[in-house]
Amino acid sequence: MRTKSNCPQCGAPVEFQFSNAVQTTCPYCQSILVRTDVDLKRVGEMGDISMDSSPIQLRTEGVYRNKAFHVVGRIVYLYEGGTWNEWHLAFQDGSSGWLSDAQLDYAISFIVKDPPPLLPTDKITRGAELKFRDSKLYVTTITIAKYGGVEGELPFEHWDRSDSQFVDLRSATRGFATIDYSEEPPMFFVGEAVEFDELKLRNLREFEGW
Amino acid sequence: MSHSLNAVCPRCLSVLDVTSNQVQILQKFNNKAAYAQPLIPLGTRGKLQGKLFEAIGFQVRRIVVDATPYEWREYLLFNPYQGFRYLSEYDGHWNEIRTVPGTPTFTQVDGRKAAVWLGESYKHFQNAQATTVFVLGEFPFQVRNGDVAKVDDYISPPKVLSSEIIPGEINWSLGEYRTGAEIWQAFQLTGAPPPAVGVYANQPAPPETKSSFWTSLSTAVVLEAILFVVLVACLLFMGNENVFKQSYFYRANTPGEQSFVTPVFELKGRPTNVEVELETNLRQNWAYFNMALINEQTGQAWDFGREVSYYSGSDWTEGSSTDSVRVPSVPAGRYYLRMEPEMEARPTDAYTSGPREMTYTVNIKRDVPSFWPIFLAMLLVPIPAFFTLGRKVNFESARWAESDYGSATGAACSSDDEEDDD
Amino acid sequence: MRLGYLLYGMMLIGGAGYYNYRGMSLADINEVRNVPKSVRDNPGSYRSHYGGHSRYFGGK
Repeated sequence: MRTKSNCPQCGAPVEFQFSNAVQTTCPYCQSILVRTDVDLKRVGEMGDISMDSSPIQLRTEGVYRNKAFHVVGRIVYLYEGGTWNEWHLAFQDGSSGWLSDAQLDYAISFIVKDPPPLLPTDKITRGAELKFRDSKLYVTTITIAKYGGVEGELPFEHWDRSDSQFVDLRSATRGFATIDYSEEPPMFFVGEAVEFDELKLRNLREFEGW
Repeated sequence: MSHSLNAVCPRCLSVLDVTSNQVQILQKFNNKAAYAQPLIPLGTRGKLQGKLFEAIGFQVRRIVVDATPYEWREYLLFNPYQGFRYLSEYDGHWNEIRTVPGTPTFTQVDGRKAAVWLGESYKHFQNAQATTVFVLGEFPFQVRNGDVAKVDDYISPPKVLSSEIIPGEINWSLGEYRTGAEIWQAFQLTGAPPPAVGVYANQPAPPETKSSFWTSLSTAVVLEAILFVVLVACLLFMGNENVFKQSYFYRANTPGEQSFVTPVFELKGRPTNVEVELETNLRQNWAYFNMALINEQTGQAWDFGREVSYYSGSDWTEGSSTDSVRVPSVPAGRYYLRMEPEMEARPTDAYTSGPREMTYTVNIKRDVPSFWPIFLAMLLVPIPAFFTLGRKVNFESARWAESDYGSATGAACSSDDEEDDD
Repeated sequence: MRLGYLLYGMMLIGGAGYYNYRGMSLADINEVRNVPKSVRDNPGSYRSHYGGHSRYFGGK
């Protein structure tokens, strides 16, 4: 369901493509806008997302496990080793998921409503095992990162620029999970690593010479 | 490429940090002459599995084994959609490598540590400490001269699974063997690729060595089975008939003609052998038998002489008191044997102490199977299979000789071969 | 490759089979023709074509 509104900063028309979006960005003045029923509230600026050149962009379309999606939002994270993207996907059936692009390594994940017990930030270590459903996941990276920027529609409010801990887990069969400690309780996402070709992406960003 | 974290100034070869707005010089090189030149010039594009990639980074890495340094070269390839690939080259052997999006688990295969990824086992091949000795071009992570990583390689030819451990991280990657010709073709490079020396860790065994061993083995088994059938057929279908048996007495120094002829006996059937067996009571003695098998109607004869001698002592024997000879391809007909025995009138040596007489039995059979040609064929049949086994074992020995384990691997029965497709 | 091996094997098998079918032998046999029928009555008249007898062949 699309809803239309106006940017409180610059007045430009703002349209929500994704009904679960809690925040979005104004495409004209780069303001981050939070939805409060009908009105939009400006809470900050989009930030500099140009430093990451992911081939995916807003309105990129694709397919994951026979379900079509299109890209409606983006978070760019900054960490010591560089940047990575979390693209917010809106599926045909109204659900939402995430496509992470970290140095062009792709993974799809979905938030888990009732996460298993998660170790607190100071107790979690590389190699720690986490059993979830039928798979065994192992902690591969522990990263301290912060928002580099946001774009488009996201399902939660977040414009805080402070550091948070992010933990990635992987299995022996391409399983993928991530724990986002930026909120309390931490958020748990589960999914799998995917190949670029698997997603049959269309409307990608174009690169000169490619 | 805005993913770059590092760039290397091609002029002065200083390593630059491009993450911040001001390019910081991470490392300066005093020696400005290039240590190595990439065989795939940076900026060259090539196709891997139909996808275009550009070579953007190059490094040379070194390990030291038994005080001997070994260096290999790595190329970083980039496609803005497909991501990154690596090409490694050592001694003319190439590998196309991608990062592994997961955590392999560990197990044991044939008593050797192995890593498991997507259900496939990779046997541990080598552990080494790799140092970066030269860097050129762009990288999406920090690469500096002197960087050290602990590297483990696990193989399942033609693939290799590698782990690289640096402080705080373990990175897994999966490589697949490529020949220099394939790389030159992919990047349309001129000249010839460096020749491949020796056998590389995950180099696939050439099809002639692997498949030929199994087809040879199965062929040998089939041939041996046929030989066994031939053996059984000989036993079942060859008559082995007795045609004549008679005992005689002979004394030396008897005056008069000692030759005689046996009664006529009949040979029926196809031309085949006739076996003449002599059983004597000779002891400490020898005798000579002049014999001729004569066809009564055609006058054709097979003429032969046999010596029979037998000596024994308290703990030894020499010779045998019986003898048997086969006459080949005798056609059907009526035959008799002409016999003329001989013994020394007086012994001319100390050993021949037996009496100057003997009794002997002449036993004639027809169509007696000869097993020795069948057994000889059974011995000769597997020889080519051993040659192909030897070639396969040689290849695998050469492969594992380069590993941490020398060649003591039981290579002939290693499970990694069974995983290959035939 | 396999064909060559099969040919090699078939030759060995054929050889062993033929050897038995024809009742061949490696023995030192002389073939003689036209032995007269008179030998039947007078074996002493037969001249053996086999030489090298009346000699001790044993070892030691």
